[in-house]
Amino acid sequence: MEEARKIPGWLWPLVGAAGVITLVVIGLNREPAEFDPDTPEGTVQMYIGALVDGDFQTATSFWADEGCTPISTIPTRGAPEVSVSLVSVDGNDIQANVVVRITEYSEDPLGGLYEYEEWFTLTRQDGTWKVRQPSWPYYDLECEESP
Amino acid sequence: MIALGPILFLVVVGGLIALGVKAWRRRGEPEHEGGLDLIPYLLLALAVGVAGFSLARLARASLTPDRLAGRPIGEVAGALAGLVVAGPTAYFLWRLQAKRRKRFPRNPGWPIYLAAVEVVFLTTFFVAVGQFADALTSNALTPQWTDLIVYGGIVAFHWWAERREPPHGDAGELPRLVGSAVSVVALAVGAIGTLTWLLSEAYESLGGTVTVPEPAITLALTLAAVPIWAWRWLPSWRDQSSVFRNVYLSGLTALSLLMTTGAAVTIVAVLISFLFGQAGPAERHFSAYPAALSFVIIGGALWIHHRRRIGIGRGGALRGYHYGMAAAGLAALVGFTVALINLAFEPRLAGSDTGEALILLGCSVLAAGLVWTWFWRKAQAAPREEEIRALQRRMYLLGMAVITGLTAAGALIASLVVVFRALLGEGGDMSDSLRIPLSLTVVSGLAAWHLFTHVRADGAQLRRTEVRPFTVTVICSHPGHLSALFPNEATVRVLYRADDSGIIDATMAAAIVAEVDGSSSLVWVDDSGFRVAAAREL
Repeated sequence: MEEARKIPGWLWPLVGAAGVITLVVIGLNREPAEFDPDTPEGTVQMYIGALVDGDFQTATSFWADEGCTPISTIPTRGAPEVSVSLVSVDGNDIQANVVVRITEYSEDPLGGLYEYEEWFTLTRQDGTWKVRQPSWPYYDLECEESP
Repeated sequence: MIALGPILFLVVVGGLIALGVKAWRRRGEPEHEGGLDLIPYLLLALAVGVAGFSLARLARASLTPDRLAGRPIGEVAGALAGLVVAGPTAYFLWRLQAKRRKRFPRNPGWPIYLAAVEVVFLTTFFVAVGQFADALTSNALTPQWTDLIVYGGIVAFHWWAERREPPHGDAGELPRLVGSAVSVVALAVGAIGTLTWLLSEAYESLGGTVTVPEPAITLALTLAAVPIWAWRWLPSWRDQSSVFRNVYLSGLTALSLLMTTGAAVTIVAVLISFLFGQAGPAERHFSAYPAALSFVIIGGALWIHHRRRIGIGRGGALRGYHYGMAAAGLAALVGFTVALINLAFEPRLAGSDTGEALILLGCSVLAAGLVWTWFWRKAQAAPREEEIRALQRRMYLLGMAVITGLTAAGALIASLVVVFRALLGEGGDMSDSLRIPLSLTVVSGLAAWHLFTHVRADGAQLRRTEVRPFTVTVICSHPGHLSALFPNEATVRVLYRADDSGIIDATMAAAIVAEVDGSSSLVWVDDSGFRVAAAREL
């Protein structure tokens, strides 16, 4: 009777493998969340999305300071093969801080992952949120001197 | 050609695995209780660790709804790689060790493995509790709830396995002790933080100025740690106390008393400096009180509980507690005295107010001296013969003597460097450079001298009380009750005289035993009394 009720040993790895496969499928099929573009997190999402797509022209349109150009045209921390998740949003109607966690992964299989948090400070200008510089991934900028 | 690389890799790895399995099957039966089994359990712990952290990473990447851009390919790939290697390894080793545990149930590998898993995953579980509470109550958008489930699940699974197959042997208590230690630390941190928040609110409402801490993390830690600590520590233990439990009890009791004493010293010093006018505005001056009072209350509660568990019998736990406190008191006494001397004689260029710091250091020196004297006197009042053989006393005396001796020697070298530089014509005023090394040489040297004196005295007493077998050869007509008066380590031989002039009565027997005094001897008895001569040790 005891033997009949006993769960077979092969069932546990099968359940574990099924759970892992489910998680992998969910993870790979998840699209990024859609935040309201009129919110600080939505602005940061569009800014990072433009950078990841290589559309630097669009990315610079989110900058608060006009007339600045990055000294180098590539991100300072390796290739833009990144996934970005939101950590926190804090602020008021004029200024906001958005913290994100950025994970870069190397093409080298033994290169591993490089994970870090970045802070974006945003200001409200003409009814839209703008990213104040310097911020990821451009820390070195040259700005035109204001007249 | 393209597929040649992976095929070669698979052949090499497969060959290595096949060789390993073959060697494992050929290894034969171990002679003694299956060996220590530590290496398979170490590999199992590594595999479980890699699998657990990979699973947590995979769950975090897949389930937390916070993604702004990109897909979590990197996280998923890394976690999957870890799981593919560590998961089957952990499963294989788990089943293998489960079979071996049935044959050799007293091997120490099982409790050591459980303790290692508990220390890692219970700690990460409490960290996850803190992060979750912080995310819930702050502006963070995504609480990492998956970490809570994965780490909590691993801990719960091992508790279930421990309950199903309780570990035996001397190390059998380790998993519970490790769980108790991790949870009591989380409980203390949580309770102190929560109480500090409550007292800070009260202090602020009374008109004081203080930074009120956020209570979310500490409250969550307290709520999570209390049931776990109660489950791991409070249920009854085996009757006989083990070495591990003695170390745990004495260490925790000493630490909680040190915590309480340190906070109490701060409270007293703040009050004295206020009374002596060495303070700023009153509402700000006492701002250390909420935190200090919390330390006193929680530290005191922990001390009362664990001190009661030690009991009054002078066993290993009580000795460890007494000598631990004496060591901490002596170390603090040396350190605070040097700091006080340095501050008192520090040259001041202009009006720097060191009164508050001097009062705090003065109180600390007094408290450290009191603690050391109190516990050292308790140790000295214990029955000597047993005490000087105790491992805790030897560790205290020798360990502290070496530490203070080396400190004094190092400080002396530093002092001499200053002196020689001045003698060789370099450097100006020596007094400033000499203040710390010289005071450290003197104070630490005095402590070392005191400790080495007791090391020597203990050694001498140990030699005196050392029990050595000896042989007494008695030449007499009748020995009476002589052999009954000698201690057990004596071997008494009697050579009978042919006459009646050497009979030993009770008075003479006592005198012979006293004169022999534990040394191998020849005793001659005749009608004039007895004579004792030293004999060669056999």
